[in-house]
Amino acid sequence: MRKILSLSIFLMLLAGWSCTQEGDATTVVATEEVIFVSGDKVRVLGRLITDQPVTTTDHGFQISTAENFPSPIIVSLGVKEGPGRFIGEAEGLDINQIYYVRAFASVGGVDLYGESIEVKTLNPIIESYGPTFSKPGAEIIIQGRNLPLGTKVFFGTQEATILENQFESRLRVRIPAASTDPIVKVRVQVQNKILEFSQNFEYQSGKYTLLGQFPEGQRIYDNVFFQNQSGFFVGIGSLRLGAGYYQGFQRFDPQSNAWSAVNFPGESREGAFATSNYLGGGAIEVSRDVFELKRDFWRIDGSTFTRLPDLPTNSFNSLAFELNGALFLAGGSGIGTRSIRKYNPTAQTWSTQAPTPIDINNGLAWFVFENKAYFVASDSRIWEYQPTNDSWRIFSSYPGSQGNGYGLAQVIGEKVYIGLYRRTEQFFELDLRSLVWKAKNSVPGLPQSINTGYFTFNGQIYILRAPEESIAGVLPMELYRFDPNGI
Amino acid sequence: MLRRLIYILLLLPMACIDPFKVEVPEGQQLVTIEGIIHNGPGPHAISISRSATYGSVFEGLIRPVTGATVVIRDNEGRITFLEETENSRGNYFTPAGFRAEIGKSYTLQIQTVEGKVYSSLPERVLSSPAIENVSLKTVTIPVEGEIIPRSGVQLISEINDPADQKNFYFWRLSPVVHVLEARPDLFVNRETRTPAPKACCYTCFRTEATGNQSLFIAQDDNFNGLTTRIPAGFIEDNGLRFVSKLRVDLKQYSISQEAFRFLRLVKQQAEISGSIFDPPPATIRGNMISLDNPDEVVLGYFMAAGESSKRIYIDKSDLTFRQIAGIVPDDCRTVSGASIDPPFDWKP
Repeated sequence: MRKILSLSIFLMLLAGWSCTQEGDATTVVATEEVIFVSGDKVRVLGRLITDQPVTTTDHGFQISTAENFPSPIIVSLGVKEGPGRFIGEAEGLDINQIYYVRAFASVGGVDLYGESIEVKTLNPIIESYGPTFSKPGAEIIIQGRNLPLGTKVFFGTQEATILENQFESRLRVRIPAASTDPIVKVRVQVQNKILEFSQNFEYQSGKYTLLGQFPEGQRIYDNVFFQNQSGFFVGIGSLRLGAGYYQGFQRFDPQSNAWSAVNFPGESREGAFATSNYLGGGAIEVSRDVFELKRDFWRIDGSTFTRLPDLPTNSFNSLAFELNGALFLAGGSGIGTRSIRKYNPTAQTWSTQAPTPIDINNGLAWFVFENKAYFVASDSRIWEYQPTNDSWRIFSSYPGSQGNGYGLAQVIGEKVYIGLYRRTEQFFELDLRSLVWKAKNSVPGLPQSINTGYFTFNGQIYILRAPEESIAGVLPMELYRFDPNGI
Repeated sequence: MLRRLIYILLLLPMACIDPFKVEVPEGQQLVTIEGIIHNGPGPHAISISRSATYGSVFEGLIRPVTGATVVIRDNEGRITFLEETENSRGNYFTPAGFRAEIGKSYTLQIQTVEGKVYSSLPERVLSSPAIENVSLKTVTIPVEGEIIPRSGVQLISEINDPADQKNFYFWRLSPVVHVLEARPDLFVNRETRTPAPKACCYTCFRTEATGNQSLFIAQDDNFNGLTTRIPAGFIEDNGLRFVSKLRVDLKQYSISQEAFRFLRLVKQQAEISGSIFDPPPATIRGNMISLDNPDEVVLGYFMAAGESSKRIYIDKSDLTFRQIAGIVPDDCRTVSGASIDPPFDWKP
């Protein structure tokens, strides 16, 4: 009985034993998903799956244009300890090209591969850019799609610097220096594909050429200037810091670029008015802030001055312009800041026009276009004066700063150029038909310069600039030629 | 001998008990990204935050992730930048006019101010069948120790499920607009505690976000290609909402299978009641990954879905059981979200 019991216990012990058979480790590599595709880049998600501790000597992805991966691009992610996800990224692929991608892992000398996934890289597309008008050194933003890191941008033939590429869709680009043409095509180059915007880019233009200095190194202020068939005339104003008055005129010939002195038979003065054909008014400072107002009135023929009957009123710092052969004398003291006097040269009579809606003096920028006069008021509104019916209307509005006044306005064709007020360098072009404003390049030279004369010849503006009276030093007046479309 | 042996044996079970100190590892503040874009009118919102950790309430604050660059990219490479608003930090909104397009895939890409980059897996936008009808069912929920049960209205969506595609549904409710009735004549000055009846105003229209009391999701395993009615929302009766009319837009989204799986797991975890049949707590992986560290745990899910919507007006007579009407003893305009003017499109 005891033997049977012992045998039973022994058999029960045996029954409790079991063999543990070690299973084969299963390691699988999966190419899970392509999570990003652009023009030249793909990003793929893979996973190493195993039920055993595993170390890969290398893992990553293979990318090839052929399904059997003959000579693949290898994205190597190196050693990996244990299972889990991994992400690989390949750049520099060809745009609009079919690729095959698969994950791989090298485990114990054996290369394991995941399923192959087909992926097609995308085509680059440009959508818009802006601004379409600016100057070199400024920035534009190009919107598009699939514009990879190697993308190039050209303004005409000039390559631009890409400052930032956001998500391959927004390029922040520095505008390069212009070559010759102010209006250029903007092109985006991705690999061998060139994309071109239909909208041209326009450089902010305006080229200043320094032609020389005013004769004798003189600086004159509160002077008069005018132009006629004989050239540009600048003269009769006060010399710097109360050093008296500048006698006569200097005439500039824009064809020979030469200055010559012109005698003026009257007295020199300040605050006088002048047009191509008439000159007069003004005052002589006989003591500090004590002025002797002048009423003499002159007709100009080339470089010759003929005295006419005196003005009916005083005129100091008035503004003068000619319309339909008649002279209009507006604003300033004497005439009155809201008054206009009209001179009929045939009858040699003066008449009073309707009061003006704005205060006028020779500190306003003004111009004449198609027998109408325009004034840039101190509130930046531009008023149009119609002499035939003596009426006024608001025409446009100046977009820049008027600084300390005394801006210039000159008409070339159907465009007027306004700006260069004291203590500002802004200069704008206004299309008188479309009323579209465009900024022009800033004037070079001393920023504290003022305009002492400006003229128009052959589609270009000539500007005589003098440092402000308070600026000390040997700083003569400089004559610039401004080409509105120059680069 | 036997007695000594017994004494020795009695000593054996005796042992000293040392208190066991549990060392709780400091939890990480995990990046949490969630949001949905769809083909309906926007703006669509993506919220980014850092999760709370174990510890004091000060350590455990959920902090919005601000200043990130957030874009949505479609499978053609078109990028849409999302903007964060000043008064809703951590929430990023699509620009006006943005709508997802049916059939396209979208990925969410995020770059934080620290330079970490996150991306979602692509989500494809599937069309959502129209909501044919919305029926209502009054639901009561017994509350232990209370005589009056909680109650509300269950919204049941009737849809013709398309047979040619596998559909996964998710429903949400828009903010509700309801008539709010107040009693300004019962106003009592809180300082003097004396009655100070007001002449205005008795009736307002209040806009209120009620949310959905649960996640309402479904898949068409059991009704593929059939017309079916599915619970799609619940609005609780708080005594104020159903005194007259209530308006709500039921929004139905056709989401991806992965998004459905995510929401189902969230629903399961959220509805754990402590019974032995509950699923064990587990980390739910979303579809956001860190490109810098694929093993980083990123919570949340970015969904792209087709949307269909139906607007309904619920009259108090539609409810078979209503809570006792609450009293607002003041001008109704003092209630948050209330206005005396109805919405411009209020057409009950």
